[in-house]
Amino acid sequence: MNENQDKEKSHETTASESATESREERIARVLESARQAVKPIVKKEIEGEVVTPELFGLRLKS
Amino acid sequence: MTLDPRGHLYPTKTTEVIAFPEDFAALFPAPPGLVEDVWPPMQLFYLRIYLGQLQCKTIVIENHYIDRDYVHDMALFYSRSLRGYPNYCQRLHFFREAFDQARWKTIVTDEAGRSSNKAFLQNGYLGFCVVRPLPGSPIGRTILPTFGPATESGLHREFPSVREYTAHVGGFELSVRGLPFQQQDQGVSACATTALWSSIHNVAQTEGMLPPTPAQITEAASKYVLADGRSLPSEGLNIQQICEATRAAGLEPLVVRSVDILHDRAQLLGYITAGFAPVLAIQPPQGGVGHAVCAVGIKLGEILPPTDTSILYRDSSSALRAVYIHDDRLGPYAVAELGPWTASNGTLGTGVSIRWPDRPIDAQDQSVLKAIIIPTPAKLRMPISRIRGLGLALAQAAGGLFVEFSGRVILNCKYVRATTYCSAAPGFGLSADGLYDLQCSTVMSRYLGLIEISGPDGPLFDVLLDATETRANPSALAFVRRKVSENYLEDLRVIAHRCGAKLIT
Repeated sequence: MNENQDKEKSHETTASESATESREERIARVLESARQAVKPIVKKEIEGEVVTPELFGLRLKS
Repeated sequence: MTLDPRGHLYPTKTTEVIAFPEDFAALFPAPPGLVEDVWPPMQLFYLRIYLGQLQCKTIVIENHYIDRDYVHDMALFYSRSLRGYPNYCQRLHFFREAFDQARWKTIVTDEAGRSSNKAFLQNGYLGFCVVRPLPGSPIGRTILPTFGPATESGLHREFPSVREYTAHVGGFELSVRGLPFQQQDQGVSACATTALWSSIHNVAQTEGMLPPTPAQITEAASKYVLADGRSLPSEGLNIQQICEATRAAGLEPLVVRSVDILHDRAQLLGYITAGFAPVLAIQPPQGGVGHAVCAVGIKLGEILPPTDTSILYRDSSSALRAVYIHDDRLGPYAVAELGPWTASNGTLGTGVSIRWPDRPIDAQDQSVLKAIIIPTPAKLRMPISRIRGLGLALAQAAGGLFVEFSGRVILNCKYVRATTYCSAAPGFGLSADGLYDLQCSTVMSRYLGLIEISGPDGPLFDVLLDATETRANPSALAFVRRKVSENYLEDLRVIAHRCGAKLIT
């Protein structure tokens, strides 16, 4: 009986692990696809971090 | 004979009450001689309109007031002038209630009614304006309340950078919520100095620092770098000097270059909603010398759907229609509308149209945003752009995974203080274990980068980032469940795990 229970448990664990893996794979795919979709927008975000010496020298007086 | 007894006498003090005059500018004597600029200056005209809209009925005038900011200007610059500038100012207190000199005397002297009289004054208090003894530029530190949250056209206003200030008059302590404004005096400060001075006020209080005076800002800005040959009289500052003065004040300058309207709106929304008041460097479309203003609030409309059909979320920054600015040529809380702008060479940018009260927006009110300068606490190192870098991908992923919200997931990125977030957390609907985990078992930086992913009915989940890091991706501390459905919890747990964070439910 114990042996049967162990087998069942082992089966459940394997099924659970398999489900987790497939979920992880699915999420990984979604995340990678999302990352690619927003890449041009992210690139633009980073553009604002580049400040030129000319801009640093812009005089503000009016 | 004896010499004049100079320095023997104290100035006299009076407190006068007058009805708010239709011709507010007439209170201010015109300087002698041929005035270089138009008199009365635009700031007086603007203040009359603004105070009129706040329904100001009465002004209490203190004829002797020592102002910290002016005293520093005096020490640095005006004390060396031939003209004997006094070291004290006058101060005007504005009230929504109508009362006269006799009633004021009763209010001040009626001991039995002191509590109700204080309530009467406080309920109608509309802030104050320091009047400097400078003939051409009298408007010193001025703190007025903002307008309410709803505009006449149904839009929404927010002023996260305002804070409470107290004023003492007639033995009463009165308070007003606002952010200081002042007119540039062109001796110690030009537009950039006053914009930075306003900008630092709220963050200085949050960080337990004394805000620098305009004189201290000008001195610090000119210590190592001079845009022109001399620092005083002020010839304005360049952005590098603004950075120097920010560092001297104990903060770190974050400079963001304007890229286009989508980018700039997102940056402005992120910083302003977190309580920062950025300095905006703007320039006429034809180029030349720029101008600086301080952005103190935002005007929001509807969050717009994405124009690109492959994008599965809505960006909350699309709701930003205008910013409220302190413009020292004009006045406090002036409206500056934002819009796309294209240069003749095809370069994209953000147009800034400042609304003057006496005329519709025309060409001379149009400027182009060049840079956003944010004085931040030293330990806040992760810029909004990096928070958004992760937030954009997570919002897109959420739009793909949470099928019923596809195209209606909303992304918002900002900073929040950990204490503020934790004190709001009991209202998040977390389990007891989840709330305990967040409050007692999760390390947090003083400032958190916050990615809010919401649906049409409210927040779905938050991502908390360690803002002392420079990059968002490896710096996620926790994903916090808000109202995301039970069906998606395991997906969210996997996403959190992939980001190196735990899921708090």
